Amino acid sequence: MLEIRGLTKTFGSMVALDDESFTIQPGEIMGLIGQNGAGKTTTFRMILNFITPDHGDILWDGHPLTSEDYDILGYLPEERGLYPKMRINDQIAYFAQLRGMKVRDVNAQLDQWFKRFNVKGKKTDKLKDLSKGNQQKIQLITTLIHMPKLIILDEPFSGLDPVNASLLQDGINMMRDSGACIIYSSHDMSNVEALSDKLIMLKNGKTVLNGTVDEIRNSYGRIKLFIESNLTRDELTSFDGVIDVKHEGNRFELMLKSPEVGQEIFVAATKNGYIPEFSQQAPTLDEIFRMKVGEADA
Amino acid sequence: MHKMLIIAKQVFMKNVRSASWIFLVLSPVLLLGISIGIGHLVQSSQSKPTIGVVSSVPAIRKNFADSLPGMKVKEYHSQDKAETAMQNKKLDAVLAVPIKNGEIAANLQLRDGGKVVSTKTIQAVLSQIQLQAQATKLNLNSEQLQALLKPAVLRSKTVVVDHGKASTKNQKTDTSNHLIAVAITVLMLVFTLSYGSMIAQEIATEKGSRIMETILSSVSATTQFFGKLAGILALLVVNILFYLLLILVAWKPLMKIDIVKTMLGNFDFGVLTSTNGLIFCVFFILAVLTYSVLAALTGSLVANQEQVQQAVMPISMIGLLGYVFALAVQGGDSLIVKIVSYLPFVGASVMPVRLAMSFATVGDAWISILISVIFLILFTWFTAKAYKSNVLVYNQGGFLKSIRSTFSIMNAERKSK
Ligand SMILES: Nc1ncnc2c1ncn2[C@@H]1O[C@H](COP(=O)(O)OP(=O)(O)OP(=O)(O)O)[C@@H](O)[C@H]1O
Ligand SMILES: [Mg+2]
Repeated sequence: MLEIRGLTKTFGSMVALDDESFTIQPGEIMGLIGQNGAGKTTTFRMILNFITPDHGDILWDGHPLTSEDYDILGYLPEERGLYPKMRINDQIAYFAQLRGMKVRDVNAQLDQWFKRFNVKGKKTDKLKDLSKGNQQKIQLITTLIHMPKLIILDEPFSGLDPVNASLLQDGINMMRDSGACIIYSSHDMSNVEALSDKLIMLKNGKTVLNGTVDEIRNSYGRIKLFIESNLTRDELTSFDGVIDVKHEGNRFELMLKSPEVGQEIFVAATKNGYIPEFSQQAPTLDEIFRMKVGEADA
Repeated sequence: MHKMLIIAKQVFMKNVRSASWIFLVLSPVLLLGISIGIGHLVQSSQSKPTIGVVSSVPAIRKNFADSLPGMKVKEYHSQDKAETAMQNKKLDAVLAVPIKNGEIAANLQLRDGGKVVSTKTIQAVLSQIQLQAQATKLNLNSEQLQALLKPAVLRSKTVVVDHGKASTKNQKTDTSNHLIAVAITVLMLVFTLSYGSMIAQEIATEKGSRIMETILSSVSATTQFFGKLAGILALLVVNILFYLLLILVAWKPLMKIDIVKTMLGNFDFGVLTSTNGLIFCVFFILAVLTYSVLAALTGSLVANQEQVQQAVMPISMIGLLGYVFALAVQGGDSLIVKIVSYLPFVGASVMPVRLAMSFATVGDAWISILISVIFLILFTWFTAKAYKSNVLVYNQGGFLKSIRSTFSIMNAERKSK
C-alpha cells in the first residue's frame, strides 16, 4: 500500500505541491490529473526520492521507501529515453538486471511481452530502427517486465494511437490484477474514466478533486440539463441557479448550480404539456475537469 | 554493490566494443609501429652502400670485408673490373689498397649520387691495418700492441646536492629521467583527456537522452556514479595491460632493430623501478582519477546531447594547462611552476617533471601527492553529492546556469532534511 500524507514542496517562492494526500491499495489504479505545471511529475519525483519534500510522508507498507525497495518499483518517466544504438533485448535485460531480475528470466519472458504490446520489430533490432510508438512500447516493457509492486507512469498515453492506447490499458489492468499499486498521470481525460479506480486532480499544486470516479461524479449530482421546449434562451438564463446556457438549434444544454434547479425548469417547460426532450445528467469527468480548470483559485 | 557492478559492466562492454575506444588503444601502437618502420627503412636504405675493395693481398680484402660495419664489401683483383662495376652503378665506391714497402697508401673513389660512404670508418680500418703492419715490422706481440692502444679513462658523474648531502647519479639516469618526464607529460595529457571525455560523454549522453531518470529509479545516484567511474577505469586498466603485454611480446624482436636500439640505448631502465618511477605511477593514477571525477561532474551538468562538447571542454582546458606548465619546467624552474606543482590536477603533470629534472625532491613530490589525495577525496565526495542534484536538472540556459542551479538545489535539499 502506498500512503501519501500532507506532501508539500516549494521551489523558491513557488508552491509546486500543497498538502497532497492519498492512498493506493494493492490492485488499485489511481489517476493523477491536472494541467501542465499542476505538480504531477513533482509528486512522482518525490515518491521516487529524486527530490525531498518540504513536509509530508511517503510510506510504502508503512515505512519510507528506501533503496531496498527499488526492485519493486516500475517507473515510466515523462520524457522517455533509452539507448538508441543498443539492441532491444540487451537494453531490456540491462534495466531488468538493475531491478534485480536475472537475464535468463528476461529472455524467457520477452516474447510474451512483445506479443502483449504487439511490438513491431525483432528483439535483436537496434532501438533507433523502431518507430516512435514501438520505442515507447519497449520503454513500457522495461518498466513492467520485472512485475513491480508499485508502478508509476508519467503520461503513459501520450504518443500512442487509440489502438495502442487500449493495449496499454490492457497491460495496466493486467498489472492491477497481479496486485500492484498503480499511479499514472494524464493531462486529458480520455482513458481516465475507464481505467481509474481513484482520481486526484491537481491545480497549481492544490488538490481540487480526490476520490473514486463514482464519488467524484456523484458529488456533482445531475447538474447538466439537455432541454428542447418552448422556453427561449432569455427565459432559461433568467432562472436562478443556471450557470451556463449553450444552444444548438432548438436544443439547449444548461449547467445548473444544483440538481434541484431542474425541477423548477421542468415545471415551467411543461406548462403547456408535451416537450420533446428533458434529460438531466451528471457531468462527465471531462466536464468536471474543465469546470475545475475554469474555476478561479480558491 | 551488485548493481554497481552491473552498471560498470554495461559501461565497459558498451565501450570496449566501440570503434572509438579501439581506435584510442590501437592508434598509438600503429603510430609507433609506423614510425619505427619508416625509421628502419630509411636507415637501412641509406646506410648500406656497396664498396669494392681492390687488392692483390687476400688477407687485406678479408680484413675489410670483416670490419666495415654498415657496408657491403665486394672483393676485386683488378682496378679496371671494379671501376666498370662502379660505372654500372653496382658499386657506390671503389677502394684501392696497394701496398708499397709495407706502407698503405689507399685510394678511394666515390660515385657521385651513390649512397653515403663513411670515410671515417674506412680510415679507421686502414689505420688498424697500418698499425698491424708496423707492429709486425717492430716485432711487437699482440699484448704489447694492446697495451699501446689502450685509451686513457674518463669517467663522468653528476653530483646532486640534496639537503647538504651529496649523492651521485650517472649521466644515463639523467637522460632517462628527462625522457620519462617528457613521456609522463604526454601520456598524462593523452590518457586524462581521452578517458575524461569518455566519462563526460557517457554521463552527458545518458542525461541528455533522459535515460538517467529510469536508471536513478533503480539505483541510487551514488551507485550509478561510482559504477560508471569503475567501468571506465576498467577500460583504462585493460588498455594499459594491453600495452604492457605488447611490450613484453614485442621487446625481443624490437631490440633487434637498430633504430630502437639507438633510441633506447641511452635509457637507464633502473629509473622505472626506482622511487621516482613509483612516484610517477602514483601521479599518473591520481591524475586519471581526479580528471575522471571532474569529467563526471561536468558531464552531469549538461541538459541535452548538443551540450556534450561543452562538458568535455573544462577537462581539455585544465589538461592543456598542466601540459603547458610541464613544458615550461623543461625550460627551467620558476616560482610559478613551483607553486603549480603542488596544486591538484596540474600538479600531477608538473611535479613529476620537476622531480625528473631535479628541481624538486622526493619529499616535495610526496607532499604534492598528499595534497592531491586529500583533494581527490573531498572532490569525489562533493561531486557525488552534486551529481545527485545535477542529473535531474535540465537547464536550457547553458552551463553556468546549470552550475548555479546545482548549488541552489543542493542547498534546498540540505534544508529539507
Ligand atoms: N526543479 C525545479 N525547479 C523549479 N521549479 C520546478 C522544478 N520542477 C518543477 N518545477 C515547477 O513545479 C511546478 C510543477 O511541475 P510539474 O513538473 O510537477 O508539473 P506537471 O503536472 O508534471 O506538468 P506537465 O503536465 O507539464 O508535465 C511547475 O510550475 C514547474 O515549473
Ligand atoms: Mg509532468
